[in-house]
Amino acid sequence: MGGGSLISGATIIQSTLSGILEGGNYALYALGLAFVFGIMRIINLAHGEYLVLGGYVAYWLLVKFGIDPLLSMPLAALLSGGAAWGTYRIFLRRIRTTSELNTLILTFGVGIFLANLFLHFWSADLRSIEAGWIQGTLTIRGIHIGVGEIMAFVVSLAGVLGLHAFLRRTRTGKAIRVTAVDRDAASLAGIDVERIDLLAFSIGGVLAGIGGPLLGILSYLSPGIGIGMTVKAFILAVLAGVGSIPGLIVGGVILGVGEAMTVTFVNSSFRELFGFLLFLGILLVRPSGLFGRRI
Amino acid sequence: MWKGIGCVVSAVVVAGFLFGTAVAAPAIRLGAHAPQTGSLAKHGIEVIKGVRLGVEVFEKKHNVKVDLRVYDDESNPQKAVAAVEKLAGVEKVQAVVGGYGSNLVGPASEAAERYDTPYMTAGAVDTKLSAKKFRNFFRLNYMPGYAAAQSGTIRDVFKAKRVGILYNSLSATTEIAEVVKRQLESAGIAVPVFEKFEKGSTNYKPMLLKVRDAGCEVLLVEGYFPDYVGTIKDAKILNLPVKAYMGAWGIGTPEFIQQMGPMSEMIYGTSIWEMGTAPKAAKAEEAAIVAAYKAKYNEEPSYIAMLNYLSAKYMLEAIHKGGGPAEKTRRSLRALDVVSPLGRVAFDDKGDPRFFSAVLFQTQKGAQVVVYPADRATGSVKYPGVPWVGK
Repeated sequence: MGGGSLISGATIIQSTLSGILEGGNYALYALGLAFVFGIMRIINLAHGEYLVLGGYVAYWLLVKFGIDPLLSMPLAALLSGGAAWGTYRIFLRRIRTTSELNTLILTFGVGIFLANLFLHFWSADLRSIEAGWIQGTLTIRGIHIGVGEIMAFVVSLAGVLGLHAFLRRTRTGKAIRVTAVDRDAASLAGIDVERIDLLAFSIGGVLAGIGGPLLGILSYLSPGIGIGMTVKAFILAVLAGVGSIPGLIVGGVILGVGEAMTVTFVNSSFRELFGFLLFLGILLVRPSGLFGRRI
Repeated sequence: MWKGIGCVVSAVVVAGFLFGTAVAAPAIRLGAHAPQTGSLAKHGIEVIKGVRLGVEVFEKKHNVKVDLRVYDDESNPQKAVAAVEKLAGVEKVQAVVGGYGSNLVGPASEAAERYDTPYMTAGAVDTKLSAKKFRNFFRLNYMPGYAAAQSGTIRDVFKAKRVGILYNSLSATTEIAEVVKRQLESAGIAVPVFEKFEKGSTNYKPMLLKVRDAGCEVLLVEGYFPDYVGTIKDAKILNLPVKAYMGAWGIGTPEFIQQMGPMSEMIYGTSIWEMGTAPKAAKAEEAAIVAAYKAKYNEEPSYIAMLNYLSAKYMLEAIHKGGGPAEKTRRSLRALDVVSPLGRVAFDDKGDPRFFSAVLFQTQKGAQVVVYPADRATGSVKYPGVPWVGK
C-alpha cells in the first residue's frame, strides 16, 4: 500500500528523524573504508569484517565480563586496527604497488578468512548486543528516539570531525595527505611512504572497529554480514565523493532520509532502489561524488 | 596339477565373494547438502546435525553401513545445484537429503530430478516447488500449514479486526504473507498495511509507523531472524501500540531468546515441533530422538534438527526397503504413512506432506508455550502482550 491518506505529520517527522539517525550509522560504518579508499586508492573488501570483529569483541566482553559496549569500544577499535595492521604487514605490503585488482582480490580473501574465523569462534548464530541503558528510548513531544541511535550519531560525527582534524592539523595527518596526492614526491620529501601506508590502513581498521559495537547494539552481528556492510560503505564513500570525509555525514543523511521517505510515501520495496538510483544519479551529474576532492 | 590349483583358487575366490556379500550388506550411499557457511549457515548446520544423527541411528537399527557425503552449498543457489550435481553425478549417491531455503532447494531439486535421484527436504516451504510434479521431490513441511496456524490464531484466539503485515521479499516469506492476507481478509479481518522489505533492511521505523497510523492490533512479520531483531528493536523505540507481535520461522528459538533476552517475551511464532508437542503415538519416539541428540551434541534439538533427522530416517528406510533403485525408493516413500513427532507423515503425488500442520507458540518466561491449535496447546495465551509497553 502506498498509504498516502494515512500519513500523519508526526509520522513524517519521526520517519525523517529515523532517516537522519540511520544516515549517521551509514557514515560511521563507511568511515574506515572511505578513508582507506581516499588515501590509498584501495577498496578494502575486508572492511565489513573489521567492523564485525569490533562488534564481536564488544559482544564477547559484555557476555563474559559484563563490560558496557561503550567502554569496550577502544579495545574493539584496537583489535580491528590490529587486524588491519596484520593484513597490511603480511599481505598488502607485498602487492601494494602492483595492479589494483590484486589488492581487491587480496582484501576479499582476507574478508572471507575473517568471516570463517568468526564462524569458528562465535558460530553462525546471530548475536545482538543487549545493554541496558543504550537500549533506552527518549520521547519528546510524541517523537521517539533510541539512546543507542543518538550514541551512534554522536560517535559518527565525532569520528568524522576527529579524522578531519587529524588529517588537517597534525604532522602525521599532513604526511598522509601528501602521500595520497603524490607518493614519489612524498618519498623525496623524506616521508616514509611505507610506514604511512601501514598507518593509514591500520587507521581504517580502527575506524571500522569503533562502529562494530554500535552495529551490534542497533542491529545484529553475524559472520556473513561483513560483505553487505562493505558494499553499503562503498556506495556511501562514492556518493560522498572520494576523499571527502565530512561528505560522508551529508551523504549518509541524504541516503538515510531518502530511504525513509521512500518507505513512508511510496513503499518499502522501493527503498533499495532509491539508494541505487541516487547513487547512479549523482554519478551522472557529479562523477566525483557530492563533495569529491582530494583529502 | 596347475589345472587343479587353478580350480581351487577360483573356487576360493568365488566362495569368498559369495560369503562376503552374504555377511556384509552393501553400504547405502546418501548425499546431503546444506549451508555450512554464508547467511543461512546457522540453520544449515542444524540440518546436517539432524541428518548425521538420523544416519547413526539407522546404522545401529538396521546394521547397515551408510556412506554419508555432505556438501556445503554456502547459502548460494548455484552452489546448491553444484552440490547436488556432484552428489548425484560423481559420488553416485542413492538419494539426497537436506537443503535449506526455498531459493536454494528449488534449483537443487531440479538438479536431483535431472539425475533421477530421490530428494527429500525439510527446509523449503514455497508451494511452487512442487508445482512441477517432479518424481523425485519430497518434503516434510510446506507453507499452507504455517499460514493456517497464523491466521487461525489471529481469527480464533485474538479475534483481531486489523492486522499489519510486513514481509521479507524472499519467495517463501512473500508467499506466506500473501496466503495469510487472503485467509485473514476472507475471514473479514482488514489488512491495511501490507509492506515488503528487502533482505538486509536496517531501518524498519517508517514501516512500523504505517502500522501505528493504520491502527493495527496485530503486527505480523513474515521474515527471518535478522528481520525480527530489527523490527522488535525499532518497535520498542517507537513503543508501537499493537497487542501482539507474530513472526513466521526462526523466532522464539532458544538462540533467539538467548540473544533478545526480555525482548523475546510474549512474541508469537510458528513451529513444526517443540519438545512435548508430539502426538501421543509418537511421544516415545520423540523422547528417544531428543535423548540421542543430547547424548551426541550435548544440546536440545531444534525443530530443524528434528525435521532433518526424520528426513534422513525416512529416506534411508525407503532406500533399505526398496533395495536401492531410485524407482523403488520413490515407491517406498509414496507408500509411507506413519505418525511421527511432527504428526502424521505421508506424501501426495507431488511429494508434498498430506497432513502437515504447524503449531503457533508464545514465548512465556523464556519457554515456548504452544497456544494453537487447541488440541496441541501446552498452555494458555497471554493476550494482549508485546515485549515493549504496547497497548
